[in-house]
This record gives sequence, structure tokens and C-alpha cells, in this order.
Amino acid sequence: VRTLLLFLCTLPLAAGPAPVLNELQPRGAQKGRPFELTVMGNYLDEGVRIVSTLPATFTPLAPDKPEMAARYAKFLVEPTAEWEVGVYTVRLAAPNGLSNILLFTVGAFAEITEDESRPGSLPNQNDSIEKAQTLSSTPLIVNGTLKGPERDVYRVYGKATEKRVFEIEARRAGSSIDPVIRILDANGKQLARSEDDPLLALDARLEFTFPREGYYYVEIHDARFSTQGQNFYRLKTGFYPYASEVFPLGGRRGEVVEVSLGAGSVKADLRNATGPQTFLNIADSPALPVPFAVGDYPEVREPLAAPLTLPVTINGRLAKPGEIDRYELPVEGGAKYILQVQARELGTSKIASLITVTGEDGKQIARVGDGPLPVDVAAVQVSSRTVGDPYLQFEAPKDAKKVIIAVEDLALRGGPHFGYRLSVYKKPQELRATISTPFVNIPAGGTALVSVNVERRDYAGPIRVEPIDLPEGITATGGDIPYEIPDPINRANSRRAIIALTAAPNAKPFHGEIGFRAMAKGDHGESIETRATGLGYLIGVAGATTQGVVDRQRALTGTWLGHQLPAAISTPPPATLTLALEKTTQKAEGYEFLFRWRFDTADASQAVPDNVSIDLPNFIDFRAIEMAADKKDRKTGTFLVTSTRNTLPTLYNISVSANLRSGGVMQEVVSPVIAFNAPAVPEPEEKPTNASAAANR
Amino acid sequence: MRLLLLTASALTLAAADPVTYLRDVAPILNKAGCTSGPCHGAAKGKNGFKLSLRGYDAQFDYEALLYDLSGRRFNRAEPGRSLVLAKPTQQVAHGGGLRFEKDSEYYKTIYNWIAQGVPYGDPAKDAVTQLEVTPAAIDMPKPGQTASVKVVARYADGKTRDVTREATVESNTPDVAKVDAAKVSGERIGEATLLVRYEGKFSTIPVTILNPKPGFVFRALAQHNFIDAAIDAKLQKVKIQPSPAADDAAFLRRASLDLTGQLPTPEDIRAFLADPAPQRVKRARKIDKLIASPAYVDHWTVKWGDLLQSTRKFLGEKGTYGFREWIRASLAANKPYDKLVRELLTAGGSSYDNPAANYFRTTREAKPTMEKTTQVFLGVRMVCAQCHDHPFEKWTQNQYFQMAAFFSAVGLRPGYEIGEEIVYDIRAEYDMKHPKDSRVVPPQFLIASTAPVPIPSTPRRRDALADWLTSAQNPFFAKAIVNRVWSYFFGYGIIDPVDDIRASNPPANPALLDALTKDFIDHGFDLQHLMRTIANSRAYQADFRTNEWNEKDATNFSHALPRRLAAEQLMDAVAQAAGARPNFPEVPDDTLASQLPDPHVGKDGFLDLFGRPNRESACECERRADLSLPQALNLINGKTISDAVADPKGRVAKMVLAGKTDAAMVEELYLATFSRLPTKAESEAGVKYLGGGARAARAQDLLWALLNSKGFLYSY
Repeated sequence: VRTLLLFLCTLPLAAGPAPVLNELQPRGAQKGRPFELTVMGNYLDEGVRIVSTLPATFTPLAPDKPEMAARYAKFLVEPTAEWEVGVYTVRLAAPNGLSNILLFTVGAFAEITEDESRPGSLPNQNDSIEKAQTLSSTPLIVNGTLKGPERDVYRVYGKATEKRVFEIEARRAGSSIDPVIRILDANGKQLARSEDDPLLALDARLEFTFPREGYYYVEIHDARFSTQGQNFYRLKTGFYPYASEVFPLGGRRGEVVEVSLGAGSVKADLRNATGPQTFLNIADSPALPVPFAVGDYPEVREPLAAPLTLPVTINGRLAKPGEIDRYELPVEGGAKYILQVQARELGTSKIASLITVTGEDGKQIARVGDGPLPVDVAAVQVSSRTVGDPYLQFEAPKDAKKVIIAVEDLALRGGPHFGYRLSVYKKPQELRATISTPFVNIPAGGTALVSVNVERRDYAGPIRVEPIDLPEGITATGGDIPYEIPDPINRANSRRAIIALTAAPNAKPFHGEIGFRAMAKGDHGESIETRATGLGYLIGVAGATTQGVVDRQRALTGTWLGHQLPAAISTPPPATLTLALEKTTQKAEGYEFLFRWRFDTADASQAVPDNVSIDLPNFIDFRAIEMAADKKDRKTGTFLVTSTRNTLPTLYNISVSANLRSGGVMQEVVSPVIAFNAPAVPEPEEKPTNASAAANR
Repeated sequence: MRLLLLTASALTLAAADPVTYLRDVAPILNKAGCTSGPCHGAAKGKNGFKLSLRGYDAQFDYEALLYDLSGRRFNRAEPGRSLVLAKPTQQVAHGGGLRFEKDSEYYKTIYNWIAQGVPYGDPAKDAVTQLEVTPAAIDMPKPGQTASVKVVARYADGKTRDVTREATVESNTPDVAKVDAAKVSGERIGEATLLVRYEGKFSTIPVTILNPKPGFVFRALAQHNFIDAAIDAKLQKVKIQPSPAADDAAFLRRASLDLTGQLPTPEDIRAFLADPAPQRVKRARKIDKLIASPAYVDHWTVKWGDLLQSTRKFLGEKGTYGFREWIRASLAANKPYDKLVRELLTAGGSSYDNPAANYFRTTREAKPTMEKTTQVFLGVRMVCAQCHDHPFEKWTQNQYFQMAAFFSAVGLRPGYEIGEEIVYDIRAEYDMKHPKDSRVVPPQFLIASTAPVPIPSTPRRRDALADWLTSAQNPFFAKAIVNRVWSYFFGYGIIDPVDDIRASNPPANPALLDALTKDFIDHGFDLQHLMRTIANSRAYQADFRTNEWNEKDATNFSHALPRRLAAEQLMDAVAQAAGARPNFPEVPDDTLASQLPDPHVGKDGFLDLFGRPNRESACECERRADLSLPQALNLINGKTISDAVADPKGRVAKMVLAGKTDAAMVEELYLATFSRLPTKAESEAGVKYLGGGARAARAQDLLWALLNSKGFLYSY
């Protein structure tokens, strides 16, 4: 230990890039048992420590191979409190910044590693019934990996009529695998299969009764045979209770809520809940707990015992196919209301909500859930688009005293997994904001760029996004989202703000979170403000098709963590980059904006690129031309941004970035955001014609 | 004076019998070619004048004649100066040339019609209700003979008229039976069907031209089941002697390929040949075993994946795997065919949770979904009827939209997960509109069912369609699948093409098709039973070698027809014969061609070269069985074969390392490729070749040669 301490103390402070976390080994552990954790990634040799939600100490161990210290680090993990079965975050923090988050799972059963996944093992060792790995005991958790398009096959022994649960923890545990479990007999005949369990989103679980005594084969594969970076899975097998449903899907912060989990009910204690979501489990169940939403409005549950008073969150369930739940809502004539569904996003409901508001006369006032969708240019193809839980804004008719809200499934499905939470509140306009950057390392003396997406709800004016309580030594630029003219055809309403965070060269070390709020003035001068939620983590999911992308799948995010923007001060950048607007020139159909960028390097030999990447969100008809470095001074250059008559005359934010190689590593440098005005393009003067001249006479 | 004469002439003509557009004029326009595709029946008409194609819409044509050009096509005072007469007789310039002479009966009829005030007629009286065609069948004892066809139209008012001159008579096989103005001449031995059509009514006449060779005596062979009885009855009638059953090795190869898509292994062949059980017994046992094998499920999953267009282009990656798994599970469980189809047609909800819902994701809209549904499950091609009444069938444009209306309420909306879509029934504004006048077209079945199925007025119409479509009384449903499955075992359907069932494309053996259909229905739409019945018939097990009486037969199932292996069969056969595994990207290493999820995997490679369909249409024709020079070059020089024969873990390498004798190696290579033991001459030649130098290289050469021969490339 002393050697290690000495080693750590002699590290130069913040010499390289921030750590990157690629892999954890193992991906899980049995609760209460100390274990050795290996983290793998890049730039791990700069005094990394583990930041985790797991109540444990993480004691660094000396590297087996010092020459690999930048790629591997080992820690001894010891509990400091009782571990609950569940998923925990692991992040690396170092003097030079923060890493991304990976997830680690605590289970109740003994854990083993798939033979093929042991270090140094050959691939494809258990890809068939003939080569199946025998699991000789139960209950058990197998930590396995799917390296590319492969199958893993395990041999298990079962007695006649014996029941056993086979479950895969993958997506829930931070893996990009979309797992499938199959139970086969010795001839390869499929006896059972699970792909997407209704309560586990894309994870799989099945309860199997062995028809006769003998050996059976459990096959695990990815649903698309894709190749993933996070390619692990945890096969949990045994006979144990687990939540088979959740109702209601959430409860109110500060309260204790009785919740049915299928096999019984539990009390959800939300008195100390802080985030937007928590997890519930059957007492002593070794299954992973299920998500449970935490709201801030008063809650009711169907059937309603009293008239609705706003704001409120209604907890309902379409218990059988074809069921439509209807609620009577007292309204003020002419007032605006918002209905917000929360269901699918929790992963515990399959409902595709269709919400209809009708007047007392039965006439439809508003509807959401089956209308045309806004244009989504990011969708690979039409059929790969997605929709989340819907919201609906409506204005009560002038003379209305009440309206009827109907909740149904688009395909008229129903059952135990068709619960929903419907929040109803009176609000004329609203903003919803998400920090789409999962974490940020701000270089001392440099700048990092953060994006915040703001969803407009019946508000088209300008929006300002600002950081909350910036630490000393860090300044922010940008954050402007211009007003717009609503497009009745393309009803996309999510807009992006860019905010550059710049740290002073002597900024104090900082590891913490930065919050953001989106603000606007409503149509009647009232303040609209919302606090942005953070992603928590962002783990990508690759497509299975190498030639011609067909599908991506949703990236894994951890909004349930309730994070804002985790941030740290990192090592100084190899250069700083600044941007300035030099000139605005009016043209016949728009304007030309001449921007100049400049690199400043402490090291005169630092090479810089001849061009920069431009980030100019929300600028209609954006076009950049004539980008070139100055011939006499390659560290500076210019480009032109052009506008058209379609470009709204208002304030815009722009930033530029470039990748520089320094010390053998590519590093991104970013300029602070500058704001500039696009003036209105004057209407062309009408040229006199013979006819007009005659008319004037 | 001339005016007086003309008036007198007009009076004379006008005094003729009453003439109506429906009964008299429309047939002339059709016969004269005015309504044909290249003329005014073209989609945009011709020279500003549009008629419906082949006159399918008499009302439309009548109104076009009357009201276009402000009615200037008629001169009622002087009918002879009407454009409608002046143009076709070329009294004024006519792009379509001379259609009839001024002194013709057609001219007089139209003249009288104009003179009588261009009456439309009464559909309740003037519409054709039936065609009476004589003779009902034409049998010619030898080529070179002729026969005449007479066509009589029966009208709604009970009157009849000889319309032989106006009716259209066409042959589906002109090189067997040629037609010229209702005169039929027998060109060569064979069978043909004449399609007679007149004013939207159709009739067919089968033509058989027999082999004039003397000395035919039908030698009855063993009949294994009702299939053989039906086939023999037809063969006897058309003087064809069927071939006897093929030997055991040929049977095993054929049955294995047809039922499982895979070649039998050398061990399978040896065991089967050595089985002392009576031939029919051991063959029946083998058929059962093949149907119960996992390879059966893989093979038929490919077929159904083709028909249902399971591809990531339409369904995404997870959707394709999910749909394939649904198909697999359905086939593995031998789900009754009517249930399988019902599940597809009524599917809803998430395409991830209910993969059958992917059925609607490939075609996405009502009209193509209806076209796919009728083509795949009824064998009826409705696509022509979208723009006009079907030219060779009774299907009308109205029926097209009535059938499409069953799917007009099917909606698709993205789900929460990428690639997931929700299939649902649209609640409002879901009616099908007719393109002609935007009127709402209510759903209606293509033909009335003997067991009436009520059609609800709600968006949920698909259930009624499924009831009607999968009914045992539906005259198309069971017949279409029976015919389709039959074609997979014989290379061609009893009706061929299998997805083009129409009056003008009659079955080669109606009794056989009816018997198979009845048996299929009687056995609960059991696909495995159907295949088992077919595979156990003597007809299926017949030798491909012909005799003097059936050498020209290609339509009556008197002998097996050699068929080039399908793309997946061929690739898997190469791999199996060479003892190598195909190595496809993006799937596990041990995946066979028949186990691939969709045409994306291995795209533009060996499989596509040999005709694997892209699954962009539901037509059986998308899978190609052609032969081409690039295929030959690929087999000779391509990587697939060369890598397979030289596979380090392959059959040749294993045999050499195991120290097998030359004779044993030759025998095994023949078993692995031709699925039979080598003849004595083949064995001796093979042994001699192996003994002539580097043994391993020569064994690879021999394997390469066998893989490039017809004995390997064909099923026979």
C-alpha cells in the first residue's frame, strides 16, 4: 500500500486527457461479498478513483503490468453498508477529469463467469449444444458476453416438474445486448423462448417447468446478433419470486404508497425520494427491482373516489383489451390545460397511449396519440422512428364547465402491463429541458460545449438557457434559442441550445454538478421556467447491419439517477480557440456573416488544423462557405455564414471546434459561444414599370 | 338532291330494330379496337378521347362519347356526319386508321343508334349475363386438325345473340392451339386453353391434341393414394404413360431437398439403402422423419419468409428476426394454415410483442396489402383491377377497392422502441375512396361466401375478411395453398403460375386439385399432412427418366422434372458435400443459408447470383431458377466452391487424414454430392484418377468436378 501511495503521490498532476471507462470485470457481485474490480479503458494512469453509488470502499491495487497501467486498474471493493440487489453506477474521477459511467450490478446468488469470457479464453467455446458449458448448481448468476454474432449455450439439469426461472439482466444492467433466452432439449427442439418480457423492456425472462428429468440447454443470444461494445449479460437462474406487474406505476414524493407487484404488494416509501424515479422490489427477491416513478402532484388512482382537483396525477390501468378509461375534469372556460402521460418510458407498461378530450356534448376538443408525427430527419427510415409517452395541450371551450378525458391503448390492448400515469395541470405554456451532454470535462483555461434540448409547449418565443450556480472560475456563454414561427406541417418542437463553459486558467479543481434552467416570458408576460434534467449516463447501442445502417436502437440513459451535468476541471487544452464576427454584409436575398477563428497555443510548435467545425443551431437555411486559414498565419482563418429570407431576424449562438493532436492524443478544442444578430432582410423595392408610372401620374 | 337522298337513306337505316349502346354499340367499339390499350383505352386516352380499357366501364364510355367535346361527336340530324362514324371509317383523319368500312354492319348499327337518339339501354335487359360457348372442349386426335368456336351471348332479358364475330378468342398456348377468328388449329401434341371473352364475360375451352402414334396401351402402375388415381385418369385420357417410381437413392435425395432443403448425408443414404423394409413403408417413415426434423422448419421458413416479405428493409433488424421467429414457431408447431393466415390478417399491437403484425409493415397501405393478401392466400392477382376491370378475369375495379377497404382502417404508428411499430385500427377517416369519384367504397368480399359473413361497419373489418378468406367454403383459399405447395414438390403447379388463379388459367388436372383441396380441408388445413400426402404419392416418387409416351409431357406430372437447386439449397448442399460450413457475416458461424434471417445477409453474393429473392414482392416469381453464364463461371472459378473443397476441416481433408482408401473416398464423394453410390465405371474412373498423383489434390479435384456436374446441381 505504501508503494502504491508513493506511486500515486508521484503522479504528475493532470498530465493527460480525462479517463475513459470501457469495461468492468466482473459486471456484478454477490451482495455483501468483497471482490476485486478491474476497470478497463484509457488514460487510467492519472490517479483515478472510483465514484460509485455502491456503498463500498474502492481500494486501488497495484497494477499487474505497470506498462498497462493506462489501460487497466484494479480495486478491492468492500461493503460499507448493506448492499441491496440492484444496479449501481461506476465512474472514474481523476485530477484530469471525469469518465463516463458504466453500471455494476449486485445480485443475491453466487456468481460465476462464462468460461469463454475468462481472460485469455478462446472464442466460440459454448456456441452449440455439443459444446455447452455445464452449470452444475442453482441458484446462480453467470456473467457472460456475446462477442459479435454468437450464441452461448449452457447445460442445466432439471427434475421432472421442477420449476426454474431463467432471466437475463442486460439492458437493465447497462449492456447494449438485446437478449433472447431459449430452452432447448438435447435434439435442439425449442421448449421455451423469451425475448422482451413485458416488465423488463428488452430484457428476457421465462419461468420453465422441466417436463422430465434430464439435461436441458439454455441458449442466450442477441435478438439481432449484433456486435456491441457493452456486450455483457447476466444469466440469473434459480427459483425465486419476482415482480410480475407494477401498479400504480408511481407515487407522490413524500408519501408512502401501496404498490402491487403481482406476487404481492409492497409499500413504496417515497418520503426521502429525491430523483424522478426509484426502484421497488418484493421483499428479499433476488430479481432486480423495478422502476417506480416519483411525482410531485397529488395522486389519485382509478376508480376515482372524488372529483379531480388540479394539479393531479391519475394512476390508471387498462385492465383488459378494449378498455377505455374516462375521467371527468372540471375546467374553467378558456383556460389551457396540459395532460402528460408517463408509462412506456418507465419500462413497466406497454401502453401506446391515445388520449382524447371531449366536451360535455361529446364533441372532440383535442386528441393525441394517433395524429401525424413531426418530421424526423434523424430517423434512418420511416419504420425506425419512435414516439414517447404523449402530452396534450388543450384549451377548454369558453362556456365549458367540464370535459371528459379518455385514455385508451392505440391498438385497444389491455392487461396487467397496461398501466399509466396521467398528470393533469393547468398551464398555458410550458418548457421541458434536457441536458443532452451526459458529463463534461472543462479544460483549465479552455472551453467545453454543452447542449441542452428544450421542448416548446405552445410557446414560440425566444428561450434563454442558463447554468445554475456556476462554480468559481467557470463562465458560461451562449444559451439562446431564437423565437420561431410555428410550422403547422412540421410540428417538431424540440430545440437545442449550446452553452460553452470556459474555465479560467487558474480555476480551482472542481468535481460536481452544474444545473441548467430554461427561461422565457410567456405570451402574457408571465415567467416560464423549468429546470433541465440530466441524462445520467449514455451507453450507445449499435445496429446489427454493417453495410447500410437499417436500425439503431435507443441508447441507454440514466435519467432515473436525477443527475444534472456532472462536471470537472481537466487539464489545459493544447490550444484555445476563439471566434469573432468580423463583418455583416447585406446581400440581395440575405446576409453574409464573416467570422474569424483563432487558435492560441502555448507551444509554438503545436500544429492546428486549417478548418473548424461550426455549431450554429436553429439557424434556418444555414450555409457556411469559403472556409480557409490565412495564408500568412495558419492559426487563424475565416468562413462565411449566409442567411436567406427564411432566416428569422433574431439573435443566434455560434461556436466552433477543432480536433488537435497533442502528445499523441486527439483532443477537441472549442470556442466560447458568441451571439450575433441576423438582421431582417429588407423587402425588395418595387421597380417602376410603365403601368405603375402611368398609375402614379 | 343529294340532301334528299341522304335523308331518305337515314330514314331507311333509322327504321331498323332498336339499337342500344350496351347491347349493340359497346361490343363494336371493343371489337374494332377503339377501347384497346394502345388506342382510346390507354390510361390517358388518345388524342383527347378516353374510353375505359376494353370497355369495362360502359357508363363512362357512353358519357365520354356523349358529353366530351360538348357532344360534338354526334350529328343526330345527319348521323353519317358524326365524328364517331367519320373517324373510324377515315372519312376524316384518324390516327387509329380504318376500323371498319362505311358499308359494314358495324357502321349501320352505329348509324341507327345515332339516328335513334343514342339510347344507352337498360342494364336490366341489355347486359350480357352469360356466354354459351360451343364446343365445351376440343379434342383433336392429332396435330393439324381444325375446329370452330361458336359464341352466343345471353342477355338479361333472356334474348340471345350469336356474337362469335365480336367475341375475342385467345389461346394461352398458341404453339399448341392457334386461334384465328374463332377457328382453332392444332399445332402440336399438348394441351391449351382458349379464353373467350365478350362484354366482361368469360368462358374457357380446353383443347387437347393427342399423340397420333399408334400402339398406346396404358400400363397401370401402383397407386399410392388418391393423387395417383387422379393423375392416372388424366394420363390415360391424354395417352401418356407415367414413369415408374425412382430408386431409393433418388427418392431420398429428392424428398430431403424438397422437405428440408438439405441433401441427405452419406450416412443417411447408406442406412436408407440398407433398410430392408418394404419400399413404400420405409419411404413413408423417411418422409415423416424429414418433416419432423429442424431442417424442415428452416426450409419452409425460407419459403414463407419470401412470401411474407420478411426483410430488414421493411421490418428493421429486430423486426425481421422477430417475424422469422414467428414463422418458424408456426411451422414447427404445424399451426393449421387457416389459423396461421387468420393470425396474420387480424394481427395488431406492437410488432415486437406480436410479430405477426409485421404483415402490415411490408406493404403499409391498404391497396398493396390487399394485393398481397389476395395473391399470397387466394392466388388471385388483383393489381390490374386497380386501374380498370381485370382484362382476363371477372374482377372489377369496384371489387378491387371493395377488397382494399378491408384494410383501409389499418394504421401504423411508431412504437417506443426503435423499429417497433404499433398496428392498430384507425378510429376516424378510414374509409376507402373510389379514385373515379371519391365515393366511399364499403368493404365487400370478392365473391359471396356460401356461409354469409357479416361485415361490421366499424374500423375492425379485418376479422370479417379473415372469416371469409380462411373459410372452408372459400373456393380459392385452400386451393391456392394446395396448388402452391404442390408446385414446390413438382416444380410447377396444377395451376401455373401458382399465384395467378383465374378462369383463363385453368388447372391441368381439375380433379386432382379438387381432391387435394378437399383432403386438405378435411384434415384441418394441415400443411404437414398435405406435404406428407404429396410426398407419399407415386407421382411424386416417379423417376425423372421418361418413356416414349411421356417424354413431351411437362404438365401432367407423369414423370419428375429435374430442377436446379434453389440458391439456399445449393449453398447448403455445397457446404454439406464438402464438409464445410458457410461463413456469413453478421450471423453466428454455424448458420446455414436456409437459416439466414433475410436477403441482407450475404447480399450480392452467391445466393443472389443463384436467384435468392430480395423479398420486395410477394410474387413467387421473384425467386429465380434460371441458368446463367455468371452462375456457371462462379461454380467453376468462384470462391464458394474452391474454398469449400479445400476447407481444412472439410470432407476431403478428413478422409485423407483418416487414411481412407481411394475406393472409399470415391464412394463417399459420390454419396455426398450425388446422394447415391457411384456406378462401377464411375468408381473405377475415380480410383484411377486418385491414384494418378497427389491424392489430396486429386480428391479435391474430384469433389470440384462432382460439385460442378448436373448430378449435383439438380434435384431429380
